[in-house]
Amino acid sequence: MNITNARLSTYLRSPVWWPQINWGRWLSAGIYGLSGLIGAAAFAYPFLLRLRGEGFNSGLTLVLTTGLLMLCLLVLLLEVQGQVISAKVVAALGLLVAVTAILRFVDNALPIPGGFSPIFAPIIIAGYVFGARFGFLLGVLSLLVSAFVTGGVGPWLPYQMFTTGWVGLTAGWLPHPARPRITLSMLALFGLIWGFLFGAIMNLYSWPFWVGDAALSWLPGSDLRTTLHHYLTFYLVTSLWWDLIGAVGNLTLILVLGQPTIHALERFRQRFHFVQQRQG
Amino acid sequence: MGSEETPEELQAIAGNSALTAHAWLIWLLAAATFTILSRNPLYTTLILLVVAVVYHRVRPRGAVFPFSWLRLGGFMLLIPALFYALSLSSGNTILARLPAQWPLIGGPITLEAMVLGASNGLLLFTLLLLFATFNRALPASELIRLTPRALHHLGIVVLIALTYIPETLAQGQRIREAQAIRGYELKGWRGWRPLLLPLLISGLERAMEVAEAMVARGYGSTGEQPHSTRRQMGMLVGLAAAFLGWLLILVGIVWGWGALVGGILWLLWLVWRAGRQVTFSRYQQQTWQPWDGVVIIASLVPLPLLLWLTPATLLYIPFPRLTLPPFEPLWGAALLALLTPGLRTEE
Repeated sequence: MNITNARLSTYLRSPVWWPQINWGRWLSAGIYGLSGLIGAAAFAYPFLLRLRGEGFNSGLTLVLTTGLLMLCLLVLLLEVQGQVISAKVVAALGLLVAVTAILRFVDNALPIPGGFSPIFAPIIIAGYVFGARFGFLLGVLSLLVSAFVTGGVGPWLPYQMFTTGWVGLTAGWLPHPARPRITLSMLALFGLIWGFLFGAIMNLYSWPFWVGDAALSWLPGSDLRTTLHHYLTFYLVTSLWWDLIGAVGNLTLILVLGQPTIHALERFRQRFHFVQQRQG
Repeated sequence: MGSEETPEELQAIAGNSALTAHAWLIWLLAAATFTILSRNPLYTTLILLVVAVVYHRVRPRGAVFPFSWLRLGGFMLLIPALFYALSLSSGNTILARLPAQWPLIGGPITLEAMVLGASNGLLLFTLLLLFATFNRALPASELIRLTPRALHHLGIVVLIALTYIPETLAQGQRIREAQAIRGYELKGWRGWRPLLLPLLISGLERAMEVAEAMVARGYGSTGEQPHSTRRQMGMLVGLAAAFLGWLLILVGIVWGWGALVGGILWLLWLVWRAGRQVTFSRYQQQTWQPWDGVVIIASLVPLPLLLWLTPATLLYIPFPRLTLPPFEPLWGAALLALLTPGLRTEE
């Protein structure tokens, strides 16, 4: 049966009792929701493997999970791109991705201590100013382009892209208080939290491959509580100090550079959203 | 690349004599999969040697790794070996003992733990060299070709970013020089403000100019495709099927494979269909040559064998006592097929 989109839409709306639903919007929300769930499950797979127990094949699981995450990212990008992207947004995104990629290059080239990377502050601020969709794309594409430039393409890349996309996406969901000081404090706190969260999320996919002290390792067949306890101990022992430096770095960078950057981006947001009204 | 090369020669180097980006991608995915799935130091060493040969044979056109490979390899083998020796107490061959009351590192240091650490380090190093070869062989402009056609808007974003990175760096240098002339010195966190803000603002001003140029050249003039409800519905169904399949495989239900493969194929078909609705032209065409086909076939040759071999043949665990890892000559010979990209000299 060959039904066009318009006919399908009309058919779905035809009964008088049927409410006027924007199906595209709901389906879009469904894709975002399911992609978020798949991303979360892909990272949290060590907690889902307890039923498998001894039959766990670490290599195959990593290949399958990475493949699923890449596919999910592809669908999500197609959906995000399916909504209207103007030439101004494309150009602004391209230029901001270039600036962020250079910051990643600086991060690789200079001996910056611990887990601090200057790329998160601009992604958070741009996501906050330009919105969740822009923030998500900036996060994902910044990691992709910087990986091309610095030679950082590897199996870790889809995980990094997804997590950094979440940083920009969630920044777009933050409220917009009237007082600039509250905005700055909120963004700085947000940067601090993501400093820890990024490390905790990125550790997850490689944790089942870590072999060491039994109290820190992933154990096949363990219950959820034991697995959580082991992961928390693992995180506290191996990553807390590293991520603390990253979190404090994010906080400082947003406090020092946040206010003028927000002003500059807000000024350009008005110019980017300028549209000519049709006469008549 | 010498400065005396003519544009035709540069064209030949960039487009005609090298493998296509797609052939390189399949080689990379195959080699990475084989490395991860056959976790055995003998196979890993074999793949490492094969990749090292390809790395040295390939003409550097992309990002070149800035460190010494030998030093990095030694570091990546030594550090995990020491770390595992200190943190893992399993194994029968005890080399030394640390006081048991020392937290985390106390207890026996065993040869088996060291071998496991070094083996994991070797695996990571092989993966790193593999991706470095891929990055070395392909310039960023070629990597863009791997962007699915359906994601053309985002491909343009990536292209703009890659094009403007050198320009942004040069702009940063100009701003720094201008500030230095005024007697300004870069000190502390706040010192970055007079450099980064003008850089950001000038970048966004350039973005406005780029956008106007794009509109003037007809970007977006064909109008956006209507939001396809059917495609969205299809994507939702495909994602749900792939996710369900993955979950079922994780808990050991074989039927999950059907849902996973079905979902993946359905989604790839949708992406392909979405790509067919996009019309665009390329300034520089890259033609497929028979050698691309040879590399793709050679990369996929070991795949059926991988499915046939048992995990006991492929995997190696040095516990409880160190033994020689198993080695299947047929699998070893199949892995040599990955040498193919390095067999032909690029002119």
